[in-house]
Amino acid sequence: MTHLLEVKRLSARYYTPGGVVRAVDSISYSLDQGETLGLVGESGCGKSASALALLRLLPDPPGKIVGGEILFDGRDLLKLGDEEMRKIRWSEIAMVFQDPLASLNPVLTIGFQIQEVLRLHEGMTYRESRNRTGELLGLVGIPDPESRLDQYPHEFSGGMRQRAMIAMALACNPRVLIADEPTTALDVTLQAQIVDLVKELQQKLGMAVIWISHDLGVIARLAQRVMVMYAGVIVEEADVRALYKTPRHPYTRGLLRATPHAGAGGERLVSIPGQPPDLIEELPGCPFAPRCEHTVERCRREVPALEPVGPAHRVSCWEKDQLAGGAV
Amino acid sequence: MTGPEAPELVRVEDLKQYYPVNRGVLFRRQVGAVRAVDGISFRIRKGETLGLVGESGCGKSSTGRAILQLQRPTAGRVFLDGVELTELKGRDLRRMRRRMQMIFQDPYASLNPRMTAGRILSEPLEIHQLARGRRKERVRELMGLVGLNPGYADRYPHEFSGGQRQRIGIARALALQPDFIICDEPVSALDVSIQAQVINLLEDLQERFGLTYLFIAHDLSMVRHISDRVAVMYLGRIVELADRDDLYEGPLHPYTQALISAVPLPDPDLESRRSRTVLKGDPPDPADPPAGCNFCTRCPVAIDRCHQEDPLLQEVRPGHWAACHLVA
Repeated sequence: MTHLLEVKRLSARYYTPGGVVRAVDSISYSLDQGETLGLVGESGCGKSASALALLRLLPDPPGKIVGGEILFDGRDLLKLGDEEMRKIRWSEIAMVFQDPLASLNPVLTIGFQIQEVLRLHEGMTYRESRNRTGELLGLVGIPDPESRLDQYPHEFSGGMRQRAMIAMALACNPRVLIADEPTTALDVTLQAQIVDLVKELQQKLGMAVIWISHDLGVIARLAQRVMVMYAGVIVEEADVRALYKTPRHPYTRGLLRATPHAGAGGERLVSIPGQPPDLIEELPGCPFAPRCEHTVERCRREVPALEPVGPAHRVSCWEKDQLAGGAV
Repeated sequence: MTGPEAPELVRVEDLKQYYPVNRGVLFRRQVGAVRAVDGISFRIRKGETLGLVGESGCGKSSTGRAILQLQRPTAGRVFLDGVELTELKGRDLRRMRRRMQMIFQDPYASLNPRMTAGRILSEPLEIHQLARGRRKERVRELMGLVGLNPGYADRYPHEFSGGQRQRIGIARALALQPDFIICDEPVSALDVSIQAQVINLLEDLQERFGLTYLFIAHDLSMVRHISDRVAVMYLGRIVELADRDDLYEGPLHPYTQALISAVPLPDPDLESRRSRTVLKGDPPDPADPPAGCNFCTRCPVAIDRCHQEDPLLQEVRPGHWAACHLVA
């Protein structure tokens, strides 16, 4: 079966005055029709950069895609011309960002901004696009959508703005929705609303979702499959149950142990010592080796490949066989 | 040490903090008030950690600032070890400040970028004329206490990582050997693996110096982890206050119930089994709270009485307080 989206050895760099940052370092993964893929990692691990790279939206300069392929429906997005790429963006692959206030134009009405997408990509008339925008705002649960079309972003609350962004992303019935930390700026009760909304819309519309988050709880609620990124590489990939119940990579285990479970209080958190590496410096071995409690000599010399350890479960760790079966 | 028999250290009585809403350019006049904190009372025992949770804008940070007299409360009284802070001024207040300190949320904004770590830590000692003649030594000692290399005293904040900066903030709070520390979202700007390091440090320091904490946060899992008792705020009021496990396992107030059920757990099995109360809409404007119970506009079980009469915070079970007509 061919995948809807297949990323092969994708690498992206940021060329900064301080040096070359290896933001995304040869990552490969796939996404199927209607699937929800969770992408977890801490700040600076390359999760947002890899998502922006998918749409060729990395700010250039300083960012640049330096290698790999992004096969969408069999076509390599990196080989398309700008005009063809523009047709893919929003119509086929749409994105929702973390901060809706920064993604919306403050001097244009919400309605105008969504209508603009419909007029440009779908060739709709003003009337058609206005009706469709009303429908979309209703679809994402904005009460009284017709009258809110003419309001400006500042007249919307944080949760409503993020709903409007989702409406805009869904305007052209995309086949892939990339959600980059869309609930991080929201309170938990609003976060729950948005997570449920995206889940519901996905079932209704059958699109595939890549949900990027640092919050292991949100991912557990949403995703079918999860990838964990660290220092620009994927360190573990598994279906959601396997990742939380039988994680193999020491970093995944560390993250799970460092997260307080609301179901239990009191016991000490197990922190991961140290901090993530500087991606400007050349790392000879596994990027997690300096913080890892299972480091052996080989980890400092050679980079481990992402290799299968079970059905749909891949891990990049030299000690993965020794770490099998151990509890979190 | 923290049982009900421990003596009380902090007492807050009917605390109110209103912010004026002004209109007009030439003739400014007050047209209303944002009731950020609207009559709250609680006590904190020596050596205890009281968690204060709520969503953005509920008044939890204003509560912290009003307790420390960083801004004068509109009404109400605050006692520290029997001394009424709300009556003190000038030198007397400054003397009490030695005993109460604050750790701020943003480790980037709360440290002066032009001062070295050593200067930041010795400034409180200079102001309070402490450790004269041995300030350098005391600074090194403080850095050691929070797990920073004392050799870094000459470095500037930008040379430290987020987690290390938060450690400087903690060391600064400890410099005057306070009894009481308000931690205002101390880890929400940090990554998961670093959060655990800072939380463990706060717990170690509490044990070592017998500190009393007011831990303000929106992350319910983290609050459950660190607190002995927890107060839940909504729109300027405390809606529920109880021992940690009572609150999380048997929440009485409908808002607490919804809040706890909205927290995503890092466990896909639990997540798929859990039933959730998703609140509709957004919190009302604190400048224009609804009649009756503050929560009645979003409450799934509100009855007529809730729209007319404001419920009082009452002790429903020993040590378990709730402000709701339906549970009293």
